[in-house]
Amino acid sequence: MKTLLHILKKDLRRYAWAWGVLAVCAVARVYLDGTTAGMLDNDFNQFLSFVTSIIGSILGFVLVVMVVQEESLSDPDAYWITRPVNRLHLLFSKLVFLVLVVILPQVLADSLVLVLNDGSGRVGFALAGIFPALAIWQSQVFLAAQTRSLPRYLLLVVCLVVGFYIVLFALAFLGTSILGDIYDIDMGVLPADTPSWVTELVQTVLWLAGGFGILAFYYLRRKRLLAWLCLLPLVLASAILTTGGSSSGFLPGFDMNFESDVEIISVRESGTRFTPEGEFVTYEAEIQVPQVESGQDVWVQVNYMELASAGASFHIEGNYRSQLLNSASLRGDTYQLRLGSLKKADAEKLGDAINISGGLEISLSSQQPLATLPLKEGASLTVNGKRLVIGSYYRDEGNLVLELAAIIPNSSFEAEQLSDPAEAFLGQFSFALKDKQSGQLQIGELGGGYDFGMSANKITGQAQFKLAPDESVDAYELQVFTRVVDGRDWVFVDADKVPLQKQTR
Amino acid sequence: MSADCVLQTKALTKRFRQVTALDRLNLELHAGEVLALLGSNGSGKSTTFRLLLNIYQPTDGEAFLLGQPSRKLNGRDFDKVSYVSEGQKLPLWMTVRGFLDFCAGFYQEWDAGMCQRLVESFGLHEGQKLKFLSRGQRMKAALASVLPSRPKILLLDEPFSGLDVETRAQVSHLLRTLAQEHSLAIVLTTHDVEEVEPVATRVAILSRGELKLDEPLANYLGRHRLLQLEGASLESLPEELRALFRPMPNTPPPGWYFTDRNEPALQERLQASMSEGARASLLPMNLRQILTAHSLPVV
Repeated sequence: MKTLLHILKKDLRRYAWAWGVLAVCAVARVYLDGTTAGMLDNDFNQFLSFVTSIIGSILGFVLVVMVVQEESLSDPDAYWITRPVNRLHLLFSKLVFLVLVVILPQVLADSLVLVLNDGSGRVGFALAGIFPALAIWQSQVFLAAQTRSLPRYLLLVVCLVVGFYIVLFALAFLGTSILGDIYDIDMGVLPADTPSWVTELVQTVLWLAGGFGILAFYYLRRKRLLAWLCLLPLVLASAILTTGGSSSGFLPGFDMNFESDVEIISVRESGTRFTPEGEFVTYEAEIQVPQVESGQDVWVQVNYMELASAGASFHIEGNYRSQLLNSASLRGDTYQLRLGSLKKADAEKLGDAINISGGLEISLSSQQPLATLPLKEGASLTVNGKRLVIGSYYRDEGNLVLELAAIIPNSSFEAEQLSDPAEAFLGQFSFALKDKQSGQLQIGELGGGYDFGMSANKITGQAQFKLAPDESVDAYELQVFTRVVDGRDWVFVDADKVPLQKQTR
Repeated sequence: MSADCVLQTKALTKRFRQVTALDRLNLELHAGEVLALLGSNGSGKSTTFRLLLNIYQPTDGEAFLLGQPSRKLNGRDFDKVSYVSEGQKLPLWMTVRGFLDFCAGFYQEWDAGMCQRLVESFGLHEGQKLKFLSRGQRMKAALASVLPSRPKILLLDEPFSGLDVETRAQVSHLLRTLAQEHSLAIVLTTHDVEEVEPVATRVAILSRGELKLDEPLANYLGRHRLLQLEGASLESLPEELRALFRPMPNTPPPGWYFTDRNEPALQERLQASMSEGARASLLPMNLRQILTAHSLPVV
């Protein structure tokens, strides 16, 4: 214990400046994510956000390497190696430093952000984030302990990454004949319905204990090869202690828990658009999604679509916005889907039956009204640790487009709804334009996604509504819904001789 | 192993792939002894130290320090085993005082008075950062960071490197005093053989990983003599005496010979064999002359 504190005090004194910088980064994070400040377009806040996130991540990474290498295990000439230093105490001192200086400020910032965003009930989960973070950072300690300097550490990391990809490609191409498709290997033994927080807890305990064991072994014995070999059973155990039936096999990937069977029944010309580039014809398709349960909404994003007939094919660009589909039949499993538009000259070349192919992202979800916000810049709401702000809005070709920003913390071990980085606002919000007088709602298209918010970071997106140019924005307000995504799928559709209903001109 | 034996190696061997860095080394060191481990670069001196200190694992054989197998040497064992090397990586960002205080915190026993005396006698400035010290000053700081812990065995790799003449004498005196008065056992390697004679009690020579010599220094010096002939030549000596001497290599003028088999009556036997007017003198040799005479690649 005395040795632990002795070395820890030395490291804290030595890197007091870095500790200060990381603490400032954490405070800036609370300011940016715990208020509306960081979510509005403001040069200073954007600069602060950029600088603190870059400095915070790079400094944390460099700091851990430098602190571990202060008492290098791999240098036979290191002054400390022949001093009465208990190696386990030395390891503990480095891990305590890591927790105190690198992890704790981040976790405390996460907790404060939750408190400021009305999510006090989730603080315990945010604090528990220390453990998975430590499990991950232990790998840095392991690599740093084997190298004498930062350049050597970086070289080792580069070699490991390159080696990993070589092994992966070798497995994928050469190992296929022996192992089959590695993406189909399913080693998971946990029941498929195991909640994600349970899996995360199991993995955290495994990597925390196993990682520490390997680190302790390396610190005590300095047998590098054996330490690396000890990783193999740990990786195997990690692959086994996952849920069975994962569609991505034992390789990491987003679990698409819903396999849709979408069919395009017919296509029709739905209208005409006039733009500076010319006249465009818009298209809608009637599609069938059989797996939808009662009460579930179907959201679809058209990534691309190709219409072909009589040797000519035309490409419809997707707008990368999710649209809530309206039911088109009494059976309730066919829906109207806005596909996009083609130039009128191209549209006229299509016959009455077309071949259609394309890519869709489809998700099933439900939504509940949360709150209404006035349509003005800076209007915000906080709920259960999340914060939503209207950044700005503008009008475009009969549309009202809202630029929105959200903070959506994602704490460890929480039993939370499915969130997918590909969904706008991680699939957790949807919006409607509400007529103040009639109360009528118009659900908006959602744009954004792919923000990869691992914790409390800003996520931006758009909500688009139809609004005639002569209508005033003041007559409306924004209805915000909490959205729960039940399942997602990426679908490739391909149908021949689909009837095309042309509009009368 | 006798009670006061503090270091013992038994057929200690280290191979790095095809290269044998140390080959079946057998050594013993007792409390109060100062062993000068000599050898050219790459002869296995530093490897020996690293094996003794459990920095390297031996390929074969074993070593014991203070009765403890060196493979198990760890943590608290270094309370009584100290090591300073020429190339030791010190925390250069620390001040001299900060470094000494930091090191003091590791040891169960620390003679703060001795530490202060060492700092003063070495002329170290306590507030100066280690990175601004010369190589010699860093060596002094390193010595001051281990000696106050009152070790029982001290391993020194090139301790005189970079030290000025005055400090060398100072360090030699200090080591001799610690060995004689505190029964400290010391193993030191050096290329400065002049510094060995005042402090060492034994000398060992390594060559390409093999131990070529291990002998009390007084004995080693005592059995070597330089022969100076006046009015006679080596050929004029009787056969049994002539066989005792070999010419000194690379030492002008010719006519100088040495023996490694000196004995108390040798001077009289030589003089008795001389013709009238001729004279044979046996002169003492210093360590450098002896090593040169044997063409040992140490100096």
